[in-house]
Amino acid sequence: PQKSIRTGIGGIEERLQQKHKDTDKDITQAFQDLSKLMNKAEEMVKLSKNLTQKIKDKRGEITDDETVQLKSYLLSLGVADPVTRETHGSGDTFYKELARQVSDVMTQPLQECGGIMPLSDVYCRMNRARGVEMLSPDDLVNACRLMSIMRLECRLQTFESGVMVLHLQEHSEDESLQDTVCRVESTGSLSADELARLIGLSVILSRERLLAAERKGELCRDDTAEGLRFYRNLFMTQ
Amino acid sequence: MGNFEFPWQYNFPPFFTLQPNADTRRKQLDAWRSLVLDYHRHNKQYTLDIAEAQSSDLFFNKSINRKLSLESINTVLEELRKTENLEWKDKSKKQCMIMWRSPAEW
Repeated sequence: PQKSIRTGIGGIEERLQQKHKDTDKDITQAFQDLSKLMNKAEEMVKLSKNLTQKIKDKRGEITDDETVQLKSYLLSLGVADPVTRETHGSGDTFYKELARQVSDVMTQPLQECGGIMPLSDVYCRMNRARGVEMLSPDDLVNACRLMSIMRLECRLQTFESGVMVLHLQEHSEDESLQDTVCRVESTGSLSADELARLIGLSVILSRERLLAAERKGELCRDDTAEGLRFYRNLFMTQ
Repeated sequence: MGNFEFPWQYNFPPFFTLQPNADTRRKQLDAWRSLVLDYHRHNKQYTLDIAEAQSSDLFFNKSINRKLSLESINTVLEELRKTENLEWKDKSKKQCMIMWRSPAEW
């Protein structure tokens, strides 16, 4: 077809319209491909659900290796089905390998920052170091859950407040508790951020330390508009 | 009538925050209970009005700028009621009688 080059406002409008049409086409095509892809994935999901059902039926007859293989298939699909999977083995090879790697990478940084770190910090460090093939938060948590079973250097711990931390195996809670109490005693009273500055730890973790000491009855709180401060528990000693 | 001598807890800021630790809280409430009773005995007062209580120096230590919250005051008074040292004057729990000794002791 002949290509008419028109000038003036009419020409500009025509060209704009043409451009719109082109992007429209691109978008519809992309969505069509996507739905095709999803149809395929749906089949895979159905299949994997069938398989988990079969495993359930034949509990004990299938070797561990086979369950492990199935799990790695499920993972690559993004189908997490822990309710039925957890009855067949506790985790999977991917998480185990990841746990080992996280432990190796984090041991050094943990030693540098006093043996304990919030999981969100670990997540930052791991992914910043990777650049590509990032970890999802789920991946990290699942991997860290396996650490204690695998007797790795690092351990996952969840505080009562729900904050998760990674700490070194030799890191002792009691020792840091004693240290916290001593520091509160020498200064009279401390808030979480003051303690954080004193011992060079994050505010979240300092807070957890103070709360832990409070639970043990070593400290008591003074909650005012200025903030939450902790004192030696004189109620119990005087 | 000499000045009432407050216990050491009165100048201890955590005294004015209800403690979450169960053991500590027990000790704290016991201290509050005897403080309220001693205070009223010393000043020969029998009644306590919730609305006024918060600004009286019993529950408000101006020197360290700490005040027991209304909610906590109610907890303390409830403790007193349990040991029969207190009786509400009205159903809405706005005023109460403080008895230095429980009716049984009288």
